[in-house]
Amino acid sequence: MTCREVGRHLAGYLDGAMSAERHAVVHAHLSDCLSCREDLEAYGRLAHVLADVAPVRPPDDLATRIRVQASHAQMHLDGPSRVWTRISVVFDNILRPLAVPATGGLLTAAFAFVFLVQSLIVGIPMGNIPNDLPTDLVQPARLESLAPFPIPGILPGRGGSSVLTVEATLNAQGEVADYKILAGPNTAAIRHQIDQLLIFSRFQPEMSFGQPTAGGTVVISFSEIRVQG
Amino acid sequence: MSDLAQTLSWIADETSLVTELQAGSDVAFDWLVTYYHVSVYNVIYGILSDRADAADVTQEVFLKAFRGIHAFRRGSSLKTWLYRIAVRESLNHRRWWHRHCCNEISLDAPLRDEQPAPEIQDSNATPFEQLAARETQQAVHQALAQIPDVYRSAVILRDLEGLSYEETAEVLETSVATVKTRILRGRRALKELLEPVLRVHSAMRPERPSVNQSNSNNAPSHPLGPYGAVLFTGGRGGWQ
Repeated sequence: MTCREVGRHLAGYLDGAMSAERHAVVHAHLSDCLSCREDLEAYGRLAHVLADVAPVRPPDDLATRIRVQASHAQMHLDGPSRVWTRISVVFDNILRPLAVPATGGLLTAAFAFVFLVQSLIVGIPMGNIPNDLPTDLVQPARLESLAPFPIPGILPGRGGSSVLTVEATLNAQGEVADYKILAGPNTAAIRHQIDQLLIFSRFQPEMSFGQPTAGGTVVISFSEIRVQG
Repeated sequence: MSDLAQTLSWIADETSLVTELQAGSDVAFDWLVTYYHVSVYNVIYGILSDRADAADVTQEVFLKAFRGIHAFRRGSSLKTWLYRIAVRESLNHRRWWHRHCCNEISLDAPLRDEQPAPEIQDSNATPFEQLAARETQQAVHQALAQIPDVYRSAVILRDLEGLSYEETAEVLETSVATVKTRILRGRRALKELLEPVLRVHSAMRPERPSVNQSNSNNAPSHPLGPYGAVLFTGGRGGWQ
């Protein structure tokens, strides 16, 4: 093998980039040829130089840039679901600011309906509930119980009117402040009996916004029942 | 499983990493980027000789890897797969650059030259050694830029990144014999171009044994020759 041929293969002599036979031939040539040995030495130095080359440091933000780009690519990879995602995001963005005002508005409307309508239309019967307390803001005065002593001969005998109607005006404590006879006989004896009757009767005063107030009126009418025989 | 335990298992077992990547795991991709972006960047920088372009192409490579991980064949090496994309992308970029912008002069070019060389500094080295190492690095990259593309990529993968001939052939999608030929020619061209550097290098390292001494000791009984095991296996690939 000539020096020229050996020279062509020397670059691979050091790391086995040649067949074993050729390696043996080159090896034999090297032991005889000084210039080829110098060449080989130069390749050895080249190998050192290449091995010593420090790696180039990439820009500090390169890894971050790659990750950001990959996350963008991930979004595009998602395909059709991306459209739905975008639509739902837009929908959310529109509805979310409206959520609190809309709910608040609905609740206010319901509150206004329940309370205002009920106080505007007083006395609508809400059904036949036993022992129901009316929730009206103004409740009229009423009679709770009449005094038990009645009043034989409260009404005049035959030939007179058989009906007596009295309107009583109450104070805040549910006591009778005054009364007047709307219909029926108006005599001193009857007035005395009515005085006694009203004093011992119990009344519920007029309630306004839950507070008893004076000025409520109660109309009581008496009629005589006669049993023959 | 915690992230750390997972990461440790990925170092040992590439299959589980590939499974995670194909399942779309962000942690696995982060790990891939952290572990490989420097070596991929260096391969691309060796081919393109431009830092900004190398960074852009590195980004492209990882993006392609991210998109194409589903097509990755189980059993092949993730490293050679990444390098293959890197080499292909670099050559494409170079071709594109020659077609479109080779007559343009970048406004950034003077600024780039003024930047301090950002290579990793060895803290134990003296300033003189650091300067020498930087000059060697520049000279090697300049010489690499002057040799043909096919030789350059083969030499970078084998001698700078430390891949075996088989791996290099897999990356370059060619036969081992072709790779060997390319590397031989590449090294020959580099030796011519780096003659001055090699002379300085030999002067700086007088303690290194010479071929004559080795021969006189009857050392080269190893099939690779006297320095085979030492000299051309010093690739720096995969450091972090």
